[in-house]
Amino acid sequence: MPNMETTEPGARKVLPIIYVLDTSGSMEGNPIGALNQAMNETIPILREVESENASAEIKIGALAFSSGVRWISNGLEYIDDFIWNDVKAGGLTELGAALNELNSKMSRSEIFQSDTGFKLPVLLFMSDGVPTDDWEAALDAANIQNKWFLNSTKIAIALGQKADRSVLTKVVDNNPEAVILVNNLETLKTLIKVMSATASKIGSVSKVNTGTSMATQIVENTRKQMGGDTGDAGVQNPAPPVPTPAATGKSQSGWDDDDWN
Amino acid sequence: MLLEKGQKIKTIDGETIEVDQYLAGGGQGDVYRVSFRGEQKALKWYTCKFRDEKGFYDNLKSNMDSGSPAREFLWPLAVTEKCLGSFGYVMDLIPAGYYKVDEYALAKVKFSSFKSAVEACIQINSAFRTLHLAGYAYQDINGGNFIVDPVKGNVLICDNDNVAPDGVSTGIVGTPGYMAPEVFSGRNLPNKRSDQFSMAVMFFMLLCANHPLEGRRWQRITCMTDADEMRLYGTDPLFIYDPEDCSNEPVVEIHKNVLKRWGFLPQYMKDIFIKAFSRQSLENPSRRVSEIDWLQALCRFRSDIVRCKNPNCSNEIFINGAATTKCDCCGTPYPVANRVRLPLYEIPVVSGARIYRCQLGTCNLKDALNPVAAIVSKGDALGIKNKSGLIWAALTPSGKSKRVEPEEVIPIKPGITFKIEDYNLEII
Ligand SMILES: Nc1ncnc2c1ncn2[C@@H]1O[C@H](COP(=O)(O)OP(=O)(O)OP(=O)(O)O)[C@@H](O)[C@H]1O
Ligand SMILES: [Zn+2]
Repeated sequence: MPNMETTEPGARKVLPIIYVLDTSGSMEGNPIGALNQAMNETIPILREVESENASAEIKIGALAFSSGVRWISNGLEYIDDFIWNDVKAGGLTELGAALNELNSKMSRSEIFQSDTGFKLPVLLFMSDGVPTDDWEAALDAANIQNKWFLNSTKIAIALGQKADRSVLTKVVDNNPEAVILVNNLETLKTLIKVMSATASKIGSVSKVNTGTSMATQIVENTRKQMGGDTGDAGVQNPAPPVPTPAATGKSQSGWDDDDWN
Repeated sequence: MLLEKGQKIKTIDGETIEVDQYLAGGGQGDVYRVSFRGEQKALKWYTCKFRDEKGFYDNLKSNMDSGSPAREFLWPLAVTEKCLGSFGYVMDLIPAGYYKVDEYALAKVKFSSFKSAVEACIQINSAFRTLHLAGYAYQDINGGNFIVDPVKGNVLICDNDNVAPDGVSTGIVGTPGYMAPEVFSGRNLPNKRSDQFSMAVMFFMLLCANHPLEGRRWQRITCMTDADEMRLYGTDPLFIYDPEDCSNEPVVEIHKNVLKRWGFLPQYMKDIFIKAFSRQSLENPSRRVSEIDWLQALCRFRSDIVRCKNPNCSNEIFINGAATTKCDCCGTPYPVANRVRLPLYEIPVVSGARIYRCQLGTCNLKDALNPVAAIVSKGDALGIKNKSGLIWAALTPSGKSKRVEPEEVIPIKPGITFKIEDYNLEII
């Protein structure tokens, strides 16, 4: 019998969590400071979750958009390798550029390479403003062309009253419940941490019997945990539902998946 | 809200719990070290509002009232009154040196021997047998709630707040990876039959260190959609060693542990896994392998595991067919000169082995793990010691009858037969 010492970690799927963050000019000053601090504090939390998650190996991506886009991570990185380099704010709010970048990089030949395969990626969007480019065309293209993007679990944080919640709602598969509005920076910091931890555990912790989407579950769990600590003041309920169906055509893929780009 | 050191909370019976220190946070609550009835205990304090839902608090109280079904369970000892917008319960502290099954799955902790992994399975199994006979179902077996000591294989089971009478739902449906197909696919709520499935998954994870349903089919899924998960764990699950369908077999580069270990397992262990994850058993909850069948196989397995006699090796060897077996590491034979024929199978006569009541045949739950006999040695000579507390009737090879009193030893001589209760055993 082989020695128990030779036991290797069991095989896990990779769970990609990709932050898509608005670093436009309006984020200058305190907001970007809060974002940097939140991301710095999120990493050790995710490391801890990762070290106990027997069903998924977490990998992190971070994409900043302003006038154009910039990857803060080197594609997808192991959480142990990932270092958050503080970002500066400045420029426009080119959400469309970010969606185009996701469309081109969310692919087996780009960032999604693994022997064991992936869990559905989680895309966490954060914006405090209104896009300045043709985000709608970019969103449609991504949803039509990119199965990874289409099937991702998408959640969004709308920071402040100037954030365009209807845009974010459309980005997150027309699911108004997947958008959380935050009005103060302290709450933003907690929210990013709690939401990241919740998202990184989804699919590996005890499930309650509900028929809701992953995105909604993440947001609901996040709200529950925030409710305990910070009061509900800063985190408001979702905007009234937009009567559009959630993205249709989500994947029914077979065992082989040769159609994943 | 965090509780503070020195803070006092009352139980529903008016006893005082004093908070000492925050220990850890979980999905539904935080855990503190507290003093209670003059001892250090753990307090689980719910932070999550949904825990206040229908019946949860009452179920917790009724679990506390009925008392712990078996020592393995870190059972609610006292429930607090509702205060500070929440509530909680007191249980024993997890002692040092115990680790979650998930940590074994991640190879952060390793058993010090295969035998201790088997011991852990035996303890989990007997705990569940007791729980189920008491009319409960656990409902959420997972790698985070089972904690095991890697040296002895002792087991503790926490998160007993979801334990409920079999058939009663607490809202939790389980943890992916451990959920029975009928629960995963939403056809059924968790019950004792789904517990039996989850338990088999845990045994496989502990003994083979990979997941029983995650083979090639799992590996070939580039991105696991909900539909893929549904097929893999719900509507079309397939064991990685299904004898009739190899489409989900382990993949060399990825499922290394199970590929290394499976070949070494005795046939009866392979058989019981194949049965536990057969199509019939996956599809039909009433075809699950029962706790007593597991117990018999696991106890037999435990007595088949020995250490190589070569002092430079001391590798663990699984005795094959109750006969002399060569060490797979250094080639030194482990001598088995004799066997004891039990009603259902033979076991090797090796020093230190025990025969448990459940290995003889059907028995009461409380007796299942009582040793009835032990193989003892004096110098080079081996014998069978009567540990049953009963008098045995023995016959020598020449046909003379003898009484074997409790604690008396029968020498190992082929041809001796003896009777324990109504079961005939023979030394061969
Ligand atoms: N009796 C105990 N003694 C010491 N520590 C404990 C005890 N029970 C739980 N803990 C610690 O507290 C943590 C959280 O406990 P538990 O798993 O019960 O919470 P939970 O809310 O159900 O979390 P999850 O849903 O994430 O499993 C555990 O990971 C463990 O480290
Ligand atoms: Zn050897």
